[in-house]
Amino acid sequence: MDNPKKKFAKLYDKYVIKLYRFIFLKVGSQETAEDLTSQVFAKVWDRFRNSNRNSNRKKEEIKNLTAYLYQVARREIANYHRQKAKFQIIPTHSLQISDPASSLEENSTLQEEIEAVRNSLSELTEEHQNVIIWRYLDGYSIKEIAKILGKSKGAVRVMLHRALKELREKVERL
Amino acid sequence: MRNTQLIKKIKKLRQIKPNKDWVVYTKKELLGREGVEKPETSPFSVLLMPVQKPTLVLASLVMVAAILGGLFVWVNFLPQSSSFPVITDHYLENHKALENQKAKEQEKEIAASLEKLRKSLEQATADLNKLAESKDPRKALQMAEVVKIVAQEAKGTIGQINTPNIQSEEVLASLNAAQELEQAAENVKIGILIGYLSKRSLTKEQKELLEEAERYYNNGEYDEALSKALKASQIRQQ
Repeated sequence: MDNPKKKFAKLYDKYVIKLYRFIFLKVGSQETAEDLTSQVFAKVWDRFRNSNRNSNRKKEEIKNLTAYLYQVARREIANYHRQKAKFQIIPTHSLQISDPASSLEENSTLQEEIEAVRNSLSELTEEHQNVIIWRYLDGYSIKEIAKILGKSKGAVRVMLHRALKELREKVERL
Repeated sequence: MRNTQLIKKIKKLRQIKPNKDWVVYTKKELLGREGVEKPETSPFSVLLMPVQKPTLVLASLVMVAAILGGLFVWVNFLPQSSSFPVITDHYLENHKALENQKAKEQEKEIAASLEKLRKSLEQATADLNKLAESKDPRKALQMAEVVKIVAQEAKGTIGQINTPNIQSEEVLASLNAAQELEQAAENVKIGILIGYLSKRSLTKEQKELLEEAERYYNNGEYDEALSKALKASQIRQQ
């Protein structure tokens, strides 16, 4: 395997779950999340290849890979929502989670809880959803989130505080 | 509700994970076979892949593979004739008689294996349609591909049988069964692809292509159906 492929394979392994989850939480459908995640990686791979290719063209380097990945993902999600508004796309599969170690009843409760949090989260603004996902699900630091968003650490802290407050209100209302 | 409680609830969302098969499949699609850590080495190693829900097809195929394995050994590795350092007329005669007897026994066994193989291939062809009803199209596609590879292997093995006393009808019947299985596997793959696409969110252009693919498929024009379905699947949503 040549170098760009190897590098991209590592990148794929590192981000595939995070990106899939990020997208799933915004589209609410397994199949759509799979489609969009594949499209994101296909686009990033094209760009990645160009940035590693030794050609006469000026190299299109990706400075912040994490930020770039999420930027592409957000664009794909926005396109999807635009298409959805036009063509009334109906997601066919929603969340299916089961923990093999748990009973059927426990799994059903877990699924309900997850669905409730997901629904509340989806009612927040896009930025608020993003900071919560990046901080508490993907485990990024405030500094890393600030880099992704191109904002100051202070601004991210404030945003996160407001996002949590808003989410708490939504969850408590259930 | 405290922040810690809320964060605990949020963290439950970590259980949202993509299907492992999809993760591997997508990586393979993007990077080709080299990008995937564990490439498939041979059709028979594919058969041994852990399949969460073993289907009737798999059962039939394992049997087919076992018979194929046996046939392969008969055809390729068992000595058809041997030479001995000390050859006397008497010994030669005995040896020839023995060889003839062995050959007859081998032929009988090959004929029996061929009969079993033909039946297994026919059973696999009959069971194959159940794959189209699978809830997991990726697994079904993988299985159909495995079936196709096994059918091809069967064709190759049967083609190597060159034993004069075995009736050519037996060989031909098995060969036909293998060919039918190969074609059926290909057709089922197209059906699965169409079914899979019809559940996706598609653009107008994709929908039109899919409708054409369905029309061709229902008319039994599988090549055209595959071409249209593949075109529909290759268009990326803008």
